[in-house]
Amino acid sequence: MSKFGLWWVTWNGSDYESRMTVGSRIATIGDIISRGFDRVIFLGGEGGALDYSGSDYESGYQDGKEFSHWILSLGGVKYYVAIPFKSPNGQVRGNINKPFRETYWKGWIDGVLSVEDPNREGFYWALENAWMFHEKQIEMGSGLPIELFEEISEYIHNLEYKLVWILEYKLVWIPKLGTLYWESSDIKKAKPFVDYIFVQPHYYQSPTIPYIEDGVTKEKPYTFDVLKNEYLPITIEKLGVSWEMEADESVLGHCGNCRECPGSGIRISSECTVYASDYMRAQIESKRVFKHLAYYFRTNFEVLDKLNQYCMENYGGKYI
Amino acid sequence: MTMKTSVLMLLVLSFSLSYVSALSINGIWVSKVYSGDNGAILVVTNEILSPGMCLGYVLNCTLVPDMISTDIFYVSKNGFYFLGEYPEDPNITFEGDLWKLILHTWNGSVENVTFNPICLKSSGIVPLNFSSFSNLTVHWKKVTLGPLVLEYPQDFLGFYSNSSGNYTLIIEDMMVKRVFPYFPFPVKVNGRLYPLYLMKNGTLSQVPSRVNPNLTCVTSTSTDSGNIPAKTSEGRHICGPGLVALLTVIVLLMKRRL
Repeated sequence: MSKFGLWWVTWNGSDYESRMTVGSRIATIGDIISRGFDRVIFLGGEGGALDYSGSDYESGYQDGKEFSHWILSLGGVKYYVAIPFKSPNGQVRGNINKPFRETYWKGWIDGVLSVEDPNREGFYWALENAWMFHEKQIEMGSGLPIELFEEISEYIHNLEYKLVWILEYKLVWIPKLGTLYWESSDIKKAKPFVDYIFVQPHYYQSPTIPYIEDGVTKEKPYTFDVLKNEYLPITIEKLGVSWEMEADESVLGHCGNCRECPGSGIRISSECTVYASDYMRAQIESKRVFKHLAYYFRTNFEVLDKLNQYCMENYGGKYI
Repeated sequence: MTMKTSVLMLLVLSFSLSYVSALSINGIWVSKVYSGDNGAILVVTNEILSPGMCLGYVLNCTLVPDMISTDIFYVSKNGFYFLGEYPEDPNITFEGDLWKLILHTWNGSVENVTFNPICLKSSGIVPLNFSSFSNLTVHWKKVTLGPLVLEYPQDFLGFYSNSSGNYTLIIEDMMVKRVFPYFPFPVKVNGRLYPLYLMKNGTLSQVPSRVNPNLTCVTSTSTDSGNIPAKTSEGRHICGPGLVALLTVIVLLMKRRL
């Protein structure tokens, strides 16, 4: 059973910076380990917050090497390195029409691997688009041909590194799927190439959820009942993937992406805490607890502390 | 700072403050246009978008789709018609006077249908007031089809509603680039502006009436109209079941003669 924590990083123009905090204090790797995570994903959004020096293989190599060096300096935890898709200006980092061996992404992976680190377990595909193989998404710069993704996956899986025994690098993906209409997404297409997929249910963020009825897209309230009795079974039975647990500083009273954090400045942190913990409650009440989970809590570990406390008091177990 | 700039800043501020709560945007863009003799078929991508993982300021959130669908419209001088919503792009060809469509349905099957626009009545959609659009910086794409000049926005437009009101957005690279007071998704036909989508009570919906794309019509003197409006400005026609009934009678008569 693995708990994947997302560790947010940003490029400040001359170096990488961690964005993680515990309240006002800068967080250390010890802060994530002590809270029960055994895997960390180092990322900068879909790539926009990571350094970018150009779209060719060589640039990818340098950028990947630079990021990998910075991660090495943190040390001490099993981790996954983001493969960035977007550049800081929002455009695609590389040319998706080139042969894989010439692409930015091959360069990035090779650059990361040029830095030896036994704690590295694999890579995280940073593009969150669950429809990333659709032609329109590719046209809009939010997708790539499935063949290229397959080659990236094959390359990663054929890499071997020696620890005590020979392990295989793994690939993680956390696509956004805030809908009950999962059929049109590319999650099932991507599944053979990815080791861990955690869908983002977006229950914490969105008061409504789209679905299809009589061939027409409709929306209905995204209630706990929908999360537990419709979304959860789809995730398990139809897709065979796991969840990303979602929360942010709204549970601490700050305005974030929680659905109950209106623009008027009224902050309903208690409601947001309930929404965040509903992900756990849905699993407990269904008696279907995911073996592996990823956690998005934005950048403040106090979000997790608050949720751990709430879940202990209400469900007799920690959030993580 | 001019009054206009202040108003725009207030709008953007109001949007950005509310943006953080329960953001869900309908993103609309015309992805393809097929030309026929007297009309065109517009393939429109309709995406329900919300923020992905955000980096600092909320307007820096990358938008990611919750759901994607394809809306198909037929446009002629008689107006607009909504031919339905599908999970994938259709394959469309114009042959003779008929449109041949290969449609993906929501249950995963693929249907071949023939669409005959001759059965259609005037859609009766009222043009929009042009003056309210004069300040818009929407980029237009123009297609000329004989007597029909069709223009549609080239931009990826988003529609968003919150307690402060409705907004229309320009989306670039899956991020919000500009925020406007709400205006409907417009299409111009021969210089007149029509709404293709309207927002009502925070929900965006297609304006043209829905028409079954599987129309089969023949010119006839019969008054039978089936389930589709039978009379058009171009003559009287039998459509759908009416056609089937007529063909059945003809076949039976021919058999009797034989």
